[in-house]
Amino acid sequence: MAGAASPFGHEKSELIIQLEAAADERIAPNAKDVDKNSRFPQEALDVMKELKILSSSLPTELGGLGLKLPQLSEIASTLGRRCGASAMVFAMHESQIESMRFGSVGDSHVEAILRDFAQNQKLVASVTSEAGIGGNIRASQTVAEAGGDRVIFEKQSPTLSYAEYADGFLITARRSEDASQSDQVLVYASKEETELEKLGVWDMMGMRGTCSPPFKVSVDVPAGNLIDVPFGLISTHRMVPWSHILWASTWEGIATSAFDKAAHATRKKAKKQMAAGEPLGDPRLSDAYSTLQALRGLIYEFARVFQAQADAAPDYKAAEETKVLISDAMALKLNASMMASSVAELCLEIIGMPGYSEGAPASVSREVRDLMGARMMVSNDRLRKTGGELLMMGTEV
Amino acid sequence: MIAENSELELTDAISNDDDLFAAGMQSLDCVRILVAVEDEFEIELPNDRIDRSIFSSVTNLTAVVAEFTSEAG
Repeated sequence: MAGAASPFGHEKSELIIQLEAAADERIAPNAKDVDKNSRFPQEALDVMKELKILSSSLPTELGGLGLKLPQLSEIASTLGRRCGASAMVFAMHESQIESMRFGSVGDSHVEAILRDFAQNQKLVASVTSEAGIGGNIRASQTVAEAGGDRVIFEKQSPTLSYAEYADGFLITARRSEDASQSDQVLVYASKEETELEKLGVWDMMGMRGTCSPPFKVSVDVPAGNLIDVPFGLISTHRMVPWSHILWASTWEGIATSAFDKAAHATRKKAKKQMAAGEPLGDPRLSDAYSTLQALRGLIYEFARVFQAQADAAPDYKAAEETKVLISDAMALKLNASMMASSVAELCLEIIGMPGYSEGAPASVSREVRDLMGARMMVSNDRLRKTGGELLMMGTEV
Repeated sequence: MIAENSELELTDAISNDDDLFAAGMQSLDCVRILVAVEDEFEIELPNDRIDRSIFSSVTNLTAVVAEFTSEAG
């Protein structure tokens, strides 16, 4: 609707209006099939490429759209409202691109790769998790040491999202044989420089369209593809906050989809209430909306704060002296994951059996299942444990 | 239907194009009108088509009903 307000309260941009129209026509109608068959949402990727959304965070000097975090958040939300898996692909990709840019400013070799991303709308997957390490992205076993002019190594990843559809991979690895597990670097490998061996299947409760089975990844890349900046810095300043904001926005979009269905279903029930002279509506809709709005407020506020931090440290060179509160990103993730799924679960209760059914138009099965994943991807228990340790020092460290 | 489902006093002084909100229409009146209209004409308006403007005059409401009844038929 032209000129209408976004869920975050401001007027929608032309890009969002175009995205909504394309997503209603081409993404939403395929969401059920994507979920049912655990297939990649190719239609969504096509839309993102056409609207140049795959380079939305890249600065205009590199050919991107130069969008800020609140706008990226709105893209994720808009996609999530139509198809959670499509939104999550965008969220994960965008976090990779920004992390790569942040860690390579002034590096002409990597900047040429980033320009190519923008020009050819390339999709980048993340190879951060590693078999034997678990979900801790701040630890690697694999070593990526430049020997001569090439970097050659193998890494086993227990979940590698959309690997078979990506144009390239951003991979974490240990800096050298004698480096500690947390002394990591990032390596970029195009799909032509990568060999993938699929080691399992992706048949999960939700987020089925992200197609994230385990893989063995073998890369052989020019030494210039190794981003020498400590990954810890990139992770703290970009990958973690960017991921958590964009994941949370994805979840907010999915929760909004459930809310839309609950509001619609309640209106259908209201016809009987009206005929019987009963009060109209369902008070639980107010509870669902309250939580949804609180979630939106949280996301919008964190997007603003993280963007301000990003503006203060536009790249790794300025980052050392800039304060970033990693416990804030963790707090956002814990809150958003629980709030979004509580909205969807309440909407299920409001709708009743048609919501529980897989086939009914009012079904919120996909929304509820997708949102269960919010607690799993970087498990809330791990975050609580880390936060529980960090916060003993207060909130300023 | 507007008169039946709202607190509005629809007199002859209110024309089809007059602003019903200015005549005292409230949000809760809109809900009742919407439910009644969807029931009467057997239509379902999608959430993103529902905003304040469609209730602002008899003409606007009639236009939306006409659009959705022709789609349904």
